[in-house]
Amino acid sequence: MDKEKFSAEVLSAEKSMYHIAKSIVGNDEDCADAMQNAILSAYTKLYTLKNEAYFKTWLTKILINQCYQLLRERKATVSYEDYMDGQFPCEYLQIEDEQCSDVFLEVMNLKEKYRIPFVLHYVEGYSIKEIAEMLEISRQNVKVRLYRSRDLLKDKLKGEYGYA
Amino acid sequence: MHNQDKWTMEIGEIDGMMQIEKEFPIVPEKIHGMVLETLENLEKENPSMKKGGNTMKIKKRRVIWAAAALAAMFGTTVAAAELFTWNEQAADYFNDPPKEVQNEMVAQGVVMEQNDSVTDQGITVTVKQTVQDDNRLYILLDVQCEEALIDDNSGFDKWNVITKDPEAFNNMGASFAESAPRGKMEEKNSRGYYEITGLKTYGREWNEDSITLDLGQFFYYTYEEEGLGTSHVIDGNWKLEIPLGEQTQALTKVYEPNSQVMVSGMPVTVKRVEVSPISTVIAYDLNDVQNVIDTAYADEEDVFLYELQLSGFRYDDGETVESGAGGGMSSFWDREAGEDVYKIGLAGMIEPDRVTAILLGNDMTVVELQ
Repeated sequence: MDKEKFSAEVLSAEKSMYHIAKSIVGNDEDCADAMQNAILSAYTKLYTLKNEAYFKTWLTKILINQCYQLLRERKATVSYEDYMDGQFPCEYLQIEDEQCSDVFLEVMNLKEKYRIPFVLHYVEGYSIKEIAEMLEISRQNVKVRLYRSRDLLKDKLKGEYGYA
Repeated sequence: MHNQDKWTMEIGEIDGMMQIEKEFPIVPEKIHGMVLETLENLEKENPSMKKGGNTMKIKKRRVIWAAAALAAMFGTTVAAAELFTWNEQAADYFNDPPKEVQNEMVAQGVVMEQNDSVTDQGITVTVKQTVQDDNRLYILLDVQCEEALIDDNSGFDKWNVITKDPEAFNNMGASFAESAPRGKMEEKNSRGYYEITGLKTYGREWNEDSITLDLGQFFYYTYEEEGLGTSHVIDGNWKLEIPLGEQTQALTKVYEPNSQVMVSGMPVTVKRVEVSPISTVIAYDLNDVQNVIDTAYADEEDVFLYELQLSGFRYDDGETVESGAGGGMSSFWDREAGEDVYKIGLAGMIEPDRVTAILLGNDMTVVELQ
């Protein structure tokens, strides 16, 4: 894959990268850093990509690793406990009011172990198998987390926002 | 474990209340600008370019089995006619080792053919094959339903592996094989392969010449045009006896590199590495690990040191095989031995005799073994 193709692939994955980074690190500055690190890391390791058809999945796994790396480095910004419990305050997420939907906020307030599989599967369309490989957990664990995330989300949206 | 009430809950009720992707924010202009700028400056910013090409180039590949290496790895010859043929799904799971390797694994007792079968509620479950070593067990089931219910979201809930030692396993997972149709996107199948993988508990004596697999509930999804799908369950009782014979240590290589890797600027000693075709054990010096955690992660709980995770192997010809914990991973602090022990089920099958180094973390830090 040459630089032009790489750039085109990254741009087509940009929205997905942003959503995934947002779901892990929360604010836009960290999203930008994680995305930039992931792009540079991917370009450096491009020769390790075995099949171009899996570029987006491969890039996403690198992005997830970069996000976690960033969180470790910036753990003082959001406490580890808050991160693990969800609890991103709206202003921390830096979303304009008109974009700060109830659904988005509740997804972001899921615990990390439910939030990230949820976003990867239901927002970005990755398969159970792909998510299992990205997060290095079993496929059964992915399914259980997806089930629980939907359960939690449904209760929240019904209880607090009155969705029928 | 979920109860039936939870599984039968109409998850699909949230269908239609949202199209989730649209609920997420669009990419801000400043981030889009950063992406464009990064791509434009790739060659300037590429770290390998900055280092004048000194970055180690790692040529990776899917496991390719070399005939010459096979002879070294497997000293015995086995008459193929005496052996059963591996199930194609099990072979695919372990990266399609060649017939010679498959036969040798059977002869070594690593791989066993199985045939117990049970039918309930219109679903027939048959055990096809097992693969095991000291650290790990893989079970392949054939699941056949009267109707097309199977996709990659379906599976068995309320399942249990019954062993003499109730703590024989400490990490198990199960799912339909990756060949299963993708949820909402493809037509369901009425038949599929179901794979169960488990890691044997570290430090316990394995004494299970047979195990019982007890499956209690099958779940599947139906999908509407929009939304997440609705779950359904079929309660049943599928109990299967699985003879395992003796585990084998024949193919495991043990090394004591006593070399160090740097984590957060502090050294961690790699005391022992055990490599088998389907699993790997890495033992780090517990004092070193504790020092890293106390110093760099003093205010955190559940610290996970990515730098110590297995990423792959380097073979004797310099090529590397990327192989993480696709078959599960567990860790254990053995205070008596002073070791932080990671037990890893490999994503495919590797050739232990050809391994000269393990690779750790995102940076693929090299730990020489020989």
